[in-house]
Amino acid sequence: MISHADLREMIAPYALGALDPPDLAAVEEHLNDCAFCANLAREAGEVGHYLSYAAPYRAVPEGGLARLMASIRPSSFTAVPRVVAALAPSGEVPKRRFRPRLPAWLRSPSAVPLAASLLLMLGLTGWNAELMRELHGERDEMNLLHQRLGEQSHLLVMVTSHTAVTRPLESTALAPSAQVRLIMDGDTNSAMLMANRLPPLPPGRVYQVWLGRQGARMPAGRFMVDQQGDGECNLELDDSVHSYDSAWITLEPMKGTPTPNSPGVAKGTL
Amino acid sequence: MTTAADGAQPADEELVRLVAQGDSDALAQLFKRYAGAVYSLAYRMLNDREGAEELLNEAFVRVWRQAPSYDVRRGKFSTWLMSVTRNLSIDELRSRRARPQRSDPLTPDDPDLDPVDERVDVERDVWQAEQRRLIRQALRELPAAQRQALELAYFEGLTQSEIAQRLGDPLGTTKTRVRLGLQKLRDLLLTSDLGAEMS
Repeated sequence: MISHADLREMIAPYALGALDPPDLAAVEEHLNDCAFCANLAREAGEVGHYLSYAAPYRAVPEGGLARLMASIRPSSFTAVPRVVAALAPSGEVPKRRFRPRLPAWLRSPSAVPLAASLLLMLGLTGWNAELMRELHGERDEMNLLHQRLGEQSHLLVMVTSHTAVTRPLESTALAPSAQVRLIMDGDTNSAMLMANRLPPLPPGRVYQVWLGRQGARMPAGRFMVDQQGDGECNLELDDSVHSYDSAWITLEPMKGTPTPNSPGVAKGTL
Repeated sequence: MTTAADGAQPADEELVRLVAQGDSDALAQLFKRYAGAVYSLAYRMLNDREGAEELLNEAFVRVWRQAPSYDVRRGKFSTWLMSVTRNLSIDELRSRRARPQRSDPLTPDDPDLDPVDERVDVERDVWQAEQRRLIRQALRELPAAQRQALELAYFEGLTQSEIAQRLGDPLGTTKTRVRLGLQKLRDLLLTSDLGAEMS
């Protein structure tokens, strides 16, 4: 028989899911009967919940929402319309026959208003498609803005962190006016790059950030800049943020490359 | 951050109610609010981008399916969601331990290297970032052994026996570290800006 004191001591590991099976069964049984311990378990569980926020921030990959929506959509199917299927012998769908001539009723003079209506409808459909394209364009722009706002809010938290350190990168002759800083926080093991006055990006190109360690290099993120040449980038790390000894930025194709293909626009030691 | 007192945005619980009625727009709103937190936790636990993406999707599919059974009296939506995420991650970790595989933190030719973040609620993002900072700060104040025990339990889903075995410590020592660590963490959080949120 486990004492009440011993059961109470198991509340913390219970809340973290760290109890071994025999103890787990005993605690679960006890919680059904003891309101005091049940309350302790609820409080401990709340602390456990906050632990989830100790995970370093990671930006959600593109397309996550679209994927979710596709996952919950009832499975689509291409059903043959029942009437057509019923008319076809042995379930075979009849082929649509091509009719080169307009039907007689459409060739009569009284069909002119109808034709005009059809043309108007076609025009409106085209206009609608154009509006939809514009809407999608604006949505993409909104997504980019939201991404930047998210990055900036993360940056704000980082720069106010007591444990964050800032390292400037030196601009090269390719970007003489650029100011680039790397902010690294060992506490959350995260790093962000903040760039100002970088040259405008040519179409289809992006700035790519590289981190170096003992001669090895790894791509750590890509970013675009606005009209002022300003941009931010939340860096991907494969190890401790303080394990890197250098960083630099190059101009690369939109999807990024595994190795740098152009001279750096900024570089520095960390 | 579950309510919107100014009425500008529906509270989480209202959105879950709509999700339970089959409203996919409400699910999309919840995704935008919490995808970052869910993905970050999954990534921390699995140390794998692809696995974290899978898990992000699965967690919200669970929300879609289980929303009708969600009971607000049993806790906040965010607590429920993060608990679903953690449980899914632990299942995946246990499955991986049975069949070890390479973790792949960064694939250079991955077309998603520079992801577009689909979050829209900047105020909420700032709060989540602040929560992250506060909890990290509180963890830093714990003795290293206690912090390590808590992290192994929470992020790797290890039991106390497994933690003791992993670290080569006596089981009793591990039990004490888990218990004291969580108690101290709670005390630290209560005295931080998170204290007002906690009961």
